[in-house]
Amino acid sequence: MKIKIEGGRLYDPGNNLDGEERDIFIEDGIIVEGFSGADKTIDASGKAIMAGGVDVHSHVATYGLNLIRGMNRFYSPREIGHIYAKMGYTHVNEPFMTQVTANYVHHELSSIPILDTSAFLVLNLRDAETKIKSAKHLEEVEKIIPIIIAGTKAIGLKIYEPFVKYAERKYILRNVTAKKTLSFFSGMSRESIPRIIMHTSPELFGEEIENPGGFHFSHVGSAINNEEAYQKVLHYLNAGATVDLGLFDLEQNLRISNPKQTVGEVFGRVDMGLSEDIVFSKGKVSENEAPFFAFKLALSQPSSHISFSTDSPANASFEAYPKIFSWLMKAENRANLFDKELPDSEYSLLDIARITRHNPAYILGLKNKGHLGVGAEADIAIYDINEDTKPSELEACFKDCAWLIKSGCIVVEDHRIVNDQVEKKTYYRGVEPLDYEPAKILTSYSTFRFENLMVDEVFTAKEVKV
Amino acid sequence: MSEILYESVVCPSCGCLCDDIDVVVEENRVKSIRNVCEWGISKFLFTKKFTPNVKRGRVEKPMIRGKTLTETDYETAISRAVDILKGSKKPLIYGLTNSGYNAQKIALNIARRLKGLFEPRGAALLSSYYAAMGDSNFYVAPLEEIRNNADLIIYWGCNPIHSTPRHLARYSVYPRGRCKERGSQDRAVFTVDVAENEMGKLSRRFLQVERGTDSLVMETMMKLLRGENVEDYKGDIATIENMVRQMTKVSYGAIFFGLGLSARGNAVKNIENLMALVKELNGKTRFVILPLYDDFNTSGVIQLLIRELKNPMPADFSVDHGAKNSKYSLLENLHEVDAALVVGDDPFWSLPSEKSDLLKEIPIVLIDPYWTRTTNKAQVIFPTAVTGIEAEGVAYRMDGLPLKLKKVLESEYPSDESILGEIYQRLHKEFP
Amino acid sequence: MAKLSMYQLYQYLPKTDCEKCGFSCMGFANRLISRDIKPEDCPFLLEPEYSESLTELNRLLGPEVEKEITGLIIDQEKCNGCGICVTVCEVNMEKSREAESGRGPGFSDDVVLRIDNGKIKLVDPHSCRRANPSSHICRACAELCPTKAISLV
Ligand code: SF4
Ligand code: SF4
Ligand code: SF4
Ligand code: SF4
Repeated sequence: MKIKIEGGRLYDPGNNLDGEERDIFIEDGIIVEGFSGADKTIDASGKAIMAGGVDVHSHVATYGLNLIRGMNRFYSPREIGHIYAKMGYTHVNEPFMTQVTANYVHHELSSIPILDTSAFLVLNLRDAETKIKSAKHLEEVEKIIPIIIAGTKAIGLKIYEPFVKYAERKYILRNVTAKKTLSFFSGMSRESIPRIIMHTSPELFGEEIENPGGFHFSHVGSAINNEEAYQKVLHYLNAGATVDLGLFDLEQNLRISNPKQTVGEVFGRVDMGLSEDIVFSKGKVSENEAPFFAFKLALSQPSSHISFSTDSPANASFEAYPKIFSWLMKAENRANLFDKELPDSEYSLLDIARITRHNPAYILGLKNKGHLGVGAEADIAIYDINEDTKPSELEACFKDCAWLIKSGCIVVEDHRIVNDQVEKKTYYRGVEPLDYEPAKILTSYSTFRFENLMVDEVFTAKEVKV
Repeated sequence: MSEILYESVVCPSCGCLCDDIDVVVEENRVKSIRNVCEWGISKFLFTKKFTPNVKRGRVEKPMIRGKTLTETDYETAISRAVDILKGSKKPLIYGLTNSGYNAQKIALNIARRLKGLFEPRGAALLSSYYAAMGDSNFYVAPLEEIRNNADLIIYWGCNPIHSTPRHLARYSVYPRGRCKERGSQDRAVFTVDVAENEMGKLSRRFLQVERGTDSLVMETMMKLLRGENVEDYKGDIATIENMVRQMTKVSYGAIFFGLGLSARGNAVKNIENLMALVKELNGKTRFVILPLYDDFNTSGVIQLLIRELKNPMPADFSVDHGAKNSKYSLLENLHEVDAALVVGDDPFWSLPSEKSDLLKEIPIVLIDPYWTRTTNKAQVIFPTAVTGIEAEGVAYRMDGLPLKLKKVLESEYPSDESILGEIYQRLHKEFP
Repeated sequence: MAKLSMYQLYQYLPKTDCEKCGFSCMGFANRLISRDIKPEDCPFLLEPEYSESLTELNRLLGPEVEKEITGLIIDQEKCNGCGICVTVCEVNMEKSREAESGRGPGFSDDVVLRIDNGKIKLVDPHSCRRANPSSHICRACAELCPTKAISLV
């Protein structure tokens, strides 16, 4: 189908479009230069156009979440797809997939309608404990990691616990300190894996990282609870690191955390093979300064390498994104949030497009996403936003886009979801040639045979290698 | 005569879903097979459970019942099945714990479309387990972590040697794990059951309980944990005290429970207490609890229900806002049901007679590879390929992790998934 | 229980060293022990006059022989293929990385015990600890088998 979108204003940092009025031409799911004779013309005059939103960090398929859902405490996959689509999002990235839960996570993700998906592979460092102790294994690990990423159809490597710690004293020799771990991974070459995603915690900011440029720090907001940590993040950003913000909405939220960080009501715990269980709880983070610093960081926009996130559902559920956008965009919308003074800067639509489209797509390595240039995936969101939009209306406008086109198909038409059966894709990072042999050492403690750990197509949507 | 070797095939027999089965196929027959247990091999050889030399009779042609059962073709059988289901006010879709995930999904959609009831086999026990999480939280782990860490394994109301033969060797007691390098020497086993069995030999403690007193034993254990008075308990209190003492001393315990808890006494009460006990234990040390499924994809149907309806209970689409059911089993309403679609199960064998007597009165559409007691009663019978051997699929292991089921043999029969799909399509067309 | 020896088997061979099998008779006996070849691979043994020898060789080398080598008596009837013995056997663990943590040995791994067609099989009695005079102590499989399918002579 050939679709033409007329008269809208485009916000696309990747192509230096800051509200320019341009027509968009879509053919075969791709944005093209132009054509005559559209099958469908969409009048977008007076509306803002952005690429489809890309969520770099949202727990939508984490192992254990289904049990929460069974208690009716979390969205169904259908609700997830629909809510995201109405917000103008077309891609969600699951940040917590372990080797053994890879099939599970992909199967769960592929049950979410509309959205393209991807996932970070959380490497359990215990599986590599003998390797990461010394830099002499660096080359071997550099070779193995891309294989295991490709095999589990992940898009990146995430380190959740940057250390190996056994509770039992007798395994003390197996432990690896955070310092050692970080220095090991700092040394990894960018060719083998462009960016290592770090789960951020206050403890991580207590460590020194020699070469922060190779890291992406996820939901930093959760971990900045004092000025010192704040300065550290600025320093890392200066050194070339990227971050996603981990903003808060200060409501009761479902948290997925270690046992120490639970708040309020606890629902259950899952042993994922890390040094501590993962606990699901629901409550409000109020005692610490983190929410304030998170917004301070966001509003001072210290670097163009920041992405939007809330560590959904932990700091804020993805459903609250529109509210948070409206806080970022208008000081008056956030006036009563904190006792302390926040910077009074305000995000433009271009800034919003940068932190919700361009940067997340960049972090995930999705070259054809997050922008509106020719050749890009035709994932396009059209919002009823223009100069006349009042600050108080912003939230509603972001919550309820006027149109959403996903891979060239109309999903939302005039604020209504008209089709949720569009083609879905699973994006992952591949390697050539794919020889599994060296990676087998990482799976010796699995109950699965290696070939069954590697994710088969039955669990994914249409696979796209990046 | 060429042999084909299929390595790392998943055994579609019990909830263990062992994924290390190596099958040699010659002329479309399993010639030899490695690592599979005796229960699993019966499945691969199409023989009776645990008796690999007695063939099970396969249904060869679709059948419909007039005065007698007569062979027919799929087309006719489907029309007849669709007529039965269409004409029903409240059909029951039942079974499905031995089907692949996609087949289960289509069956759920059929139930939705017909405004019927959807109940997986064994729902009563499972529903109680999920419901009990509300009060007592969940404590789960992939089986790898249990094997890596657990130093105490408790089997309650199940005999893994019969229901899930390789569970002991693969996931719980005997394998070496990351922090249990000496395997079974680093762990202890407790078994609680009504009758002495093989588990006695390998358990450090075997607690034999009176039929129907499981929940009382659990209560007594909780009392002991809280230091309360247990004088009024009449059974083997010495063993219980000893067990409780060890349960608090271990660093990581794992409890597996089975159908035994539903067969005797009150399933709901048993599970509630067991979960409460686990919660209590988690105040002192680390414990996880998982059900031991004897059907290979019970876990899948639960995952499906949760994904689709946010509720693991059997689904009742007959009421408005369907599916927000809070009953543990809809079979209580069996007298209202006026037709049934049974997939891969034999309710005339597995249900108590007061329930199956009600089924006798209504037309049944059956999808099953084998002759069973239910084939004797069904109005329409569809033979199918055996999922995981003759047809591909996806199944969930007891810890909720999915595996791909492979196809190692060609079959002249369609899969249950495709028959269900066909029925769904026809309903969709004729019954919009 | 004495271990089956090469000389014991040699008694029943034609002792002609004709090398039709590719070895000397003694070499042949040696390979019989390691099960690399079968008695039938010697053409003479197929002749009627050697039929008694052949039967005897097959008896010595048959399932019974496992018992003689290892002192393990296997009753396949009782076995339910639970694989506990396969998992606990330390020699299996040494020989197969797969078998180390509860997974079944790989298809081409040379192990001592494996589950074949749903039943236990002592595939390589010679590697069993019990076959090695210096370490007769192992009895793990027999001790831990829940169905008593493995016992000791
Ligand atoms: S334990 Fe279950 S899954 Fe494993 S081989 Fe036996 S029957 Fe199959
Ligand atoms: S063929 Fe037979 S007789 Fe000749 S050398 Fe070999 S074993 Fe001896
Ligand atoms: S006796 Fe020991 S070495 Fe021999 S097969 Fe049994 S467990 Fe293995
Ligand atoms: S011999 Fe015993 S332990 Fe080994 S598989 Fe058979 S029943 Fe299990």
